[in-house]
Amino acid sequence: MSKKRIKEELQKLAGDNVREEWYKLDNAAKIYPSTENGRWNAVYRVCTVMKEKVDVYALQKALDIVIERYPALNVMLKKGAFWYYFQGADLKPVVSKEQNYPCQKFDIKSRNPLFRVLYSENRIIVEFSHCLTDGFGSINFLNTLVLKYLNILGHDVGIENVLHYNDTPIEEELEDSYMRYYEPGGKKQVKVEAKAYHLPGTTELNGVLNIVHGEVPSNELKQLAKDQGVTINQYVIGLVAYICYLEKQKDQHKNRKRPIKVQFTINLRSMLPSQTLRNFSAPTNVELKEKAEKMTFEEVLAIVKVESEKGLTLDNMRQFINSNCSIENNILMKIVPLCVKNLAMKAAYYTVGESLFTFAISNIGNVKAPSSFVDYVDRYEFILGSQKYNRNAVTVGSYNGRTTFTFSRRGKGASIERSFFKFLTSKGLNVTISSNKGGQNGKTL
Amino acid sequence: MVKHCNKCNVDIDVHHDNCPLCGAYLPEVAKISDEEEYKQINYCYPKQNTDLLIKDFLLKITILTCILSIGICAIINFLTSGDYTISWVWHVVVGWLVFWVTIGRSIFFHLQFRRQIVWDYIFSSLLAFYIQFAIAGTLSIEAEYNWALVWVSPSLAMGAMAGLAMYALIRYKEWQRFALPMTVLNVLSFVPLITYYIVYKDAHFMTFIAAAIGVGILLGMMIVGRKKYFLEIKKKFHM
Repeated sequence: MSKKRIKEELQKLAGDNVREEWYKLDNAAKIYPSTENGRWNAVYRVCTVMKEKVDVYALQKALDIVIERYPALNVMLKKGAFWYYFQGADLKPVVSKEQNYPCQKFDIKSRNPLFRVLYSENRIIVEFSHCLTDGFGSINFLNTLVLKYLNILGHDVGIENVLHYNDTPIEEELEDSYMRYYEPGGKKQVKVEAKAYHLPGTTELNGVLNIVHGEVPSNELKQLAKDQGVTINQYVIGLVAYICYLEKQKDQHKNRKRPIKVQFTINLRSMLPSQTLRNFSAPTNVELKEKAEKMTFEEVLAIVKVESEKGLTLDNMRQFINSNCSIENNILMKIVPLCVKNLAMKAAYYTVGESLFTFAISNIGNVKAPSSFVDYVDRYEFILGSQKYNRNAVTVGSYNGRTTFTFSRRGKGASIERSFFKFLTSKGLNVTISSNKGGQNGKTL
Repeated sequence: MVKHCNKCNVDIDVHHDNCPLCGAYLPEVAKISDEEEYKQINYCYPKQNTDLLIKDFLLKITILTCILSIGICAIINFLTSGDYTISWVWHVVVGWLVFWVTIGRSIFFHLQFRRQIVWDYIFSSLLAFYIQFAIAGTLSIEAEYNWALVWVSPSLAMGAMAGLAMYALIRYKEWQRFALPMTVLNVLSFVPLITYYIVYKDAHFMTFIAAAIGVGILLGMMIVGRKKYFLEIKKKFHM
């Protein structure tokens, strides 16, 4: 046996088959694997609706190339003695046909990466475990994937507003930006929040997620918000809070004494410069302080405007980061074994996680993509997967002059969406609905 | 092309038969050619399934059976004991523990073999001590009768290490994955030796052999694996 061959065999024996790169989970991601259970973990979907049917072979080719550009995403979750960590995934991601309801749970013990790429008719879909990245990172990945896909199909597409698949990943894209902006000994967020009101309803079977997309012209929506002197984000939060308020008036459950709180997520990159492709966002709750007499939408909106602006300061965000990172850096927290941490985090998530808000909103804003995508991409869709205890969530995203609202619901009955879109149509907006219910392809639902 | 729901006053994607908001039937719009239909953007979702949750159902049934059987046995034991105490019901509890730690864990919670073998070793050793205690009726047993400590625990440690080593050899390309469970087993192989020494101020050859094998394998991994072994340990301890 030649020397070279012996060396190769020894390398094999020394385990060159295993990808050695590993990453610590970022501060926000640490809660997700600990709170997962046999039926649930935090998953969300980003998706493009293409103007033509999807070519699966081209998509797989594109994925094989693009994944090399995103090393922080091509990872699986492993259990350490004290914390979970990411390790390069053993198995290659494979494009598959969409067959299940959106945002199905990931098997976090599998050797696959913690994201999946799916296709169906016109959709290119990527579903992520929230451990990996937030909306910013996932849209970047999707755009790079679509760019390469279109290039493989022979389309000449511009490369502005997108991370090119031939770029070398930079160190900053992999950093935990929470830790970068953490000030040890800095002021922390001291907030004891009361539990929020939860919408009543019957929960669907496990795994079922009802989706309703509603599309409206962006400029008309903007005008509506402008007329009220608020931003689109505040308008949507106000409208959701108002509809929750109307639902609450009908509810007789003792839970109705609790306040309505709408949670929205802030992309921290807009306040604290960062190029990270991992999680870097912060949730903020807007509480609706109700009056004794019946409130109008305008009154609700005025409260929401004040409350949402209150939370959106740089100081608040820094305090949020400080309080979360100081917990992670606490010596006691560091030395406690993972199994004990998991129990503690599960309990914390139950008591101060989803119980503190009524409805979750995620506003992606205007999607930045190459201008030539307009010829090939009809719209972007974002779906928040089912939450552990709450039943409803909505995402908002705009592209090419149209804003898409996507309601995801674990419960039966579409009263919230119905009231929401009815309100918009009553204001003169033209709403176009599509859903995973009531469709010809999905008749059996 | 869109349909319109008069009840909700919204346009609906043409591929829908019913309004997703109110469920109202939406009549067919004028037929279009297949070519035009192919070109049309389909916003509809494919037929969707949920995975049948048989495992979930089985888990619930098993947990219920476990609780019920223990509860019923405890009541019977309590009522029939004469002095209103419970005694033999502990055997039922241990029986269920054996099930959960061995078969139950791997069926319901996808425990990987390399971790399962460590837990199996720990639990089997404890079970041996329980059986010994049940037979002898006391915890203080003379050295020559303490078969759980002298024979069972070291043998199980050696068996577990051999099993894991064999499995690591079969999957030699990813042997690092076995580094942590093997290290844990190596450390645990010292437990019988230390316990024996603390209790009897002496050392039995079986406990020595188990500890020696543990040290051998640990050193072997460190020498052969070198960087890769230490990297794996670094990952696991987040260093």
